[in-house]
Amino acid sequence: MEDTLIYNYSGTSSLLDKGNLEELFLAQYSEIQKNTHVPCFFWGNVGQPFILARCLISLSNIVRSSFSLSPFQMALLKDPIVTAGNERLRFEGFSHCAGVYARIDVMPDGLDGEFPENGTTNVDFNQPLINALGSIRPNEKIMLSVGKKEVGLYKNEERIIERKVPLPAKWIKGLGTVQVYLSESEKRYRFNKIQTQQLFRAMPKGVIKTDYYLTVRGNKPVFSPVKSSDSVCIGGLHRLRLLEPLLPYIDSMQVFSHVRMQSTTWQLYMGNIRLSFSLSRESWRGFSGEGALLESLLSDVSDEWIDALDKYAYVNQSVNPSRLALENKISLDKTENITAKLASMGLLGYDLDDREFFYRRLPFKLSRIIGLNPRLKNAEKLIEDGKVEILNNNKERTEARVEGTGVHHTVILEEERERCTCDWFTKYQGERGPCKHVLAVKKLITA
Amino acid sequence: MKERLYEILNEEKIHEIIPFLKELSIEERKTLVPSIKKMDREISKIVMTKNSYHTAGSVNQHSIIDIASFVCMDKKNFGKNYWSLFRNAEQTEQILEWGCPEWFSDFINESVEAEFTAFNYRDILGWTEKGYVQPKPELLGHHLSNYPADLDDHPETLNTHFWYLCEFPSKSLPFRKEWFPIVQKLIAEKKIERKRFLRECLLASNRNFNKNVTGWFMDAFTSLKPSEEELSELQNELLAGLASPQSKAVNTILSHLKKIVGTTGFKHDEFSHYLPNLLSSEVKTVVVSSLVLTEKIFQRKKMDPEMLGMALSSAFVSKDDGIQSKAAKIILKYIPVSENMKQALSDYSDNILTNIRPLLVKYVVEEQTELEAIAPEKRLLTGDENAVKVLQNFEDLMFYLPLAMDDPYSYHCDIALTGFIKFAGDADAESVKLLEPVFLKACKTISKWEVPYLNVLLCNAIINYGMSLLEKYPVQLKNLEKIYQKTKEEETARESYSTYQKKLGPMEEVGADCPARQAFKEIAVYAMEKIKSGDHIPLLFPITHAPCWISPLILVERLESYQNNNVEPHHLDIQLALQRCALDDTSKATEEAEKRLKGEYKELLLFFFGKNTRPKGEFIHPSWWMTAGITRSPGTVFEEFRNFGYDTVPVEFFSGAYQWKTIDSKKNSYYPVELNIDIPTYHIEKRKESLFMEYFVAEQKELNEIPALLLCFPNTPANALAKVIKHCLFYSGIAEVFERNLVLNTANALYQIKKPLDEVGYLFLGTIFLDSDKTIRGTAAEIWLEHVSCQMMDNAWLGRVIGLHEKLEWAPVKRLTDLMQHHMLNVSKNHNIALEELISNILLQMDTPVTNLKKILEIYHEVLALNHSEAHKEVIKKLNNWKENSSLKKICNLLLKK
Repeated sequence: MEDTLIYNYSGTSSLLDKGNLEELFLAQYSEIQKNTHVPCFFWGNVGQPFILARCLISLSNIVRSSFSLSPFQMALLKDPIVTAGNERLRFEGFSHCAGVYARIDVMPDGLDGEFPENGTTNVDFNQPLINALGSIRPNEKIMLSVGKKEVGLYKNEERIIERKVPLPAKWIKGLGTVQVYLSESEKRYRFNKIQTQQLFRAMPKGVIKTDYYLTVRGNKPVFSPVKSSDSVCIGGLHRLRLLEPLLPYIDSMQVFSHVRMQSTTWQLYMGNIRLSFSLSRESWRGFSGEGALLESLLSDVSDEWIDALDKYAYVNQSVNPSRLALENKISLDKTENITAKLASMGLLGYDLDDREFFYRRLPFKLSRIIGLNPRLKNAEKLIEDGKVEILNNNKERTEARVEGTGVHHTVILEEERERCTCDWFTKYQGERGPCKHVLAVKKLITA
Repeated sequence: MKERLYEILNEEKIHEIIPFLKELSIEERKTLVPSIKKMDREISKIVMTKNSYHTAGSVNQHSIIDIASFVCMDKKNFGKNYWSLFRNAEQTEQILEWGCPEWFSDFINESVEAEFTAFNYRDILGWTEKGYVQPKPELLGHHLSNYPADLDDHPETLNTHFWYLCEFPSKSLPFRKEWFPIVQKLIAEKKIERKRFLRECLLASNRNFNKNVTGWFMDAFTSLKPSEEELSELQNELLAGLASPQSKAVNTILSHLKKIVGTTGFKHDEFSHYLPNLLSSEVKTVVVSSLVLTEKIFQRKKMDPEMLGMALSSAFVSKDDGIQSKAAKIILKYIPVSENMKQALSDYSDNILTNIRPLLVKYVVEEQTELEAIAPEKRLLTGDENAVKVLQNFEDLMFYLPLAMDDPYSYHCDIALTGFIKFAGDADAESVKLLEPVFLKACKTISKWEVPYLNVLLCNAIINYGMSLLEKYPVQLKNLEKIYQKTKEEETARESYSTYQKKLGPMEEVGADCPARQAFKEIAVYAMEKIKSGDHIPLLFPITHAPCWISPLILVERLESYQNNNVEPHHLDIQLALQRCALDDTSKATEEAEKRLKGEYKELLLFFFGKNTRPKGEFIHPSWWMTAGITRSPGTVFEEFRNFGYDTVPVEFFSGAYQWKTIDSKKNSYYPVELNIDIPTYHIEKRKESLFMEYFVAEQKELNEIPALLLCFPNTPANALAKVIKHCLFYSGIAEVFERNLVLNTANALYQIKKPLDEVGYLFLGTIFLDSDKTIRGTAAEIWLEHVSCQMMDNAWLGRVIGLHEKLEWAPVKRLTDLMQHHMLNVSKNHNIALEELISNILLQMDTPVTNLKKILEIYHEVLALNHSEAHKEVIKKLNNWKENSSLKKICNLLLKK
């Protein structure tokens, strides 16, 4: 597996002073972009440049934060990705530890400009740019361009900037998993600005090791150290502090929680810009390692789907699988769970407000994404080595023995639940996706 | 080749390793890698001696392996060892000359992540010159920060590398005291550019450095005393630094901005954009400095007051009286009333303090919303929602046992044991295979160094059970023998250690080093016998409802099965069951007991459930009756039990009424204020049937199991709480991890028990209200909130405890006031009334004003206003005394006016 990713930016992102107008130029690069001749995705005015700048600074803080690595790595910057299309822009990024995900959505009424090309791309984020973002003031007119509108316009920037970074494998995996988690999340609370500010003020200082629970008392939301019925469980609460600088500018905040409390999402509303911020179950757990996708990856998605999406879906537009199937004559029995599968391949994102998936193809090669799941690979290896023995298999119950290291594990699959005798299962009871033994058995009986 | 390496290693021929390696080809070196790894494992094995341990290899042997690894392995295999090989610099140079691995440069570049390296900045420069290393800027910056010397030796050091040091994170910069004077000297000598350094200092505020490093740059900036001119020139960097996540940076910058706020070039417009963030900071100094700066802008400049005014409104997110009144004054003085301003302020309407409100009457239109009273909650201790799972068959049991091993002190153990007794005999030739991974886990768990005691017992039971099945199913379980032998060998090796407690073998022989463990072991031996003999009569003590309760109905049922089978329960089993029985609703259970039980069982339960106020009938088992008596009515001494012989046990252990006192040990002593609780010493007495409680209170030891033991006495938690208070709460400043966890776990257990508190309960709760740990304080607030909701909180009692502590300034008052403000105020009408009572009672204990008494009084004022109520009569007397104190004058008068 290749373990470096090379960004080839044509220039560095910067805030350019152009007389009476400033232009925020974001250099972009995608290793899968087909059309390289029109390398500009958006060019136009931003309605709330000050807010967008603050959000982008927060995003840069998120992508360089890490809650499980050494401080040195924290200072490295990983570049966010931008999706342009359907009259909106979305900026996405992950923390280094892949436990914090953020997406800024700029809605149609917040943009006034043209979208020469639809698609998703990496954009260069660098320290001088971030410093410059800090100087953007409200009521200022700012042009934004994602990629260069016209080649040759920026004479003094005419050079290729190459940056090699370790392949952000965790990112790519996490970007898929988090969409599935989002789609399984429910809205729990809506707070106004003051409620939100007060909630954050009462947060304990420092690194928080125990779980906290969000609950509302009277009119006041609070983080409580003890669980009560109806509360939302949050691990690694201190990660929320990344949002603090934005709070004075919000109109309101909505909180979403995953049905099995495996993640929480905090969505900030600032006029026509919205920032969603998702936390993994605990600070040392990245979304990347949560096996939410594994089941979806068990069977292959036919190429028909990927082709169909490529041809007929527009970037940022909602995806309706059954309609797509109908129009492209793909047999419908294949659509079961198809959105999760496509999300896991990095083809879909999820919008919590609209409660639907939208098309967004990650700017990385597909082969990278599929090769990234060690648990699935380990399961395949178990089958290859002949270590899985199905003892009985009928509609209600499958029992199998899987040879482990020095011990035999038993896997029992029933309609309602699946169980394995291994340590991973004991510890997480299926909450972090199936263990490799269960995966292997499933793969074998569905093959 | 391999043999030769073995020879060098075994005979410690350190001087021969380099010549030997030199002669090998690259391919040959590669083939040696597996052997080197093996040798490394061998010499790294830990050898136990009686009182310590060391590795099997000698110093020379480790060196030989280090050298061989470096020369032969690739980067991945060599790992991140930046220490051992490089300690010998001369030898390292020698090796590099002929055998510098091609990964060396990358390896060294990655050393910025290492905690320690045996090489320094100078070595790296040397290696760079010789071409071994192509250093990255961050590598140079990092190592230079560790090496504040010889800066003139190499021109690049000051020209380039010094600026890398500013740009990249370095952990050690603030800890190398030499740097500060060096930098000043270098600037004076013009060896580094002053202006550039000042700018770098400011940029540090947003470079994601840690707090210490950012702080160092801020101090450096201030100490260089930048002139007004320099500050004006650096204004953009100064302003950008206001967005720093670190308050030290923000405060430093604000103090410098103050110096130039009056100059014509000051960018007040830009500053105002940072204002909402600055004013909503949680750091008071940041808010106050920002307000001062804002006022100065108003004083000197004519600018759009509305925009600045709307930004000012964010100051009202703070509940601090000082901040709010300052902000209100600026608004009154400089900002005209307008719709926008009204809107901006009314957002914060609920948060504006009652005594500030009148000042802003022109700006704030909305009336405060009244909170509603909530109906008192009534929750059953044993309802459907907390009933625990019941295992259905052998298969369930096998999947459940590992869970119990992972968390032995939770009720998982109860569920597993009940299942164990019920289904142990159900294994058949097919299902018995399920045991293998469970057995392996038990062996692995028990062979760890520190094993929780209940885990020792549980794993021992599983291992013994497995070994007994092995005889019956030798084919299916053939793996067990191998697993067991390995575990046994490990235990044998450990038995040489002097204080080792036996863990394997028959349950009877397992070590138990204190009475509390002895009690659990006795129960385990009893349970093991039941499993062996196939006795299916259920154990009495396993809980039926989380976290620690047995439904009284099920207790009747369980006792009935003993009665019907004519078997006598184990005395500890039945005592533990009585201790854990939920007594909040026993009407149905009383009926059933009358119907279904006979003789002593019936009389015992009728007394225990409260149908009979006094014990009746024949007392065949004194320990049952005694436990029933102290669980039901801890304060009462029953005449009927007088000659049971338990009067040798100190009375506190029965009643839970301990003597305690907060003591002023004077400011200079190690613990200025101490909490003293008297726990009598007690040595367990030999008798036919000891009380379960005796085991627990005798030879007070083994603290970490207390929270679990607390759940063995949910009706009478005083003994457990007293222990925790004595060991972990005798002083408010204890910050040890062990103590903190113990207190937190105890607080959590107390929260889960959901019963009205007793004397020691109030002492514990009042004390943890003032704990140094915020999570513990938060838990205390939760207990208070819930107990107020369920109308089982005595605020006078709790207030008295807190008052007695704070009268002597046991802990900073702010801990308490923050908790009140953020968690306890304005939850409901009932809670506000309860809070008023709590504060009144705290104040009643106070004499001379303590530090920050003002804060308590401010909240008191706020809560009185919310409740439309007046200060307590006795408190008014105190207020009249306190108003002489200059800092309290204002708030006392406000309270007296009410």
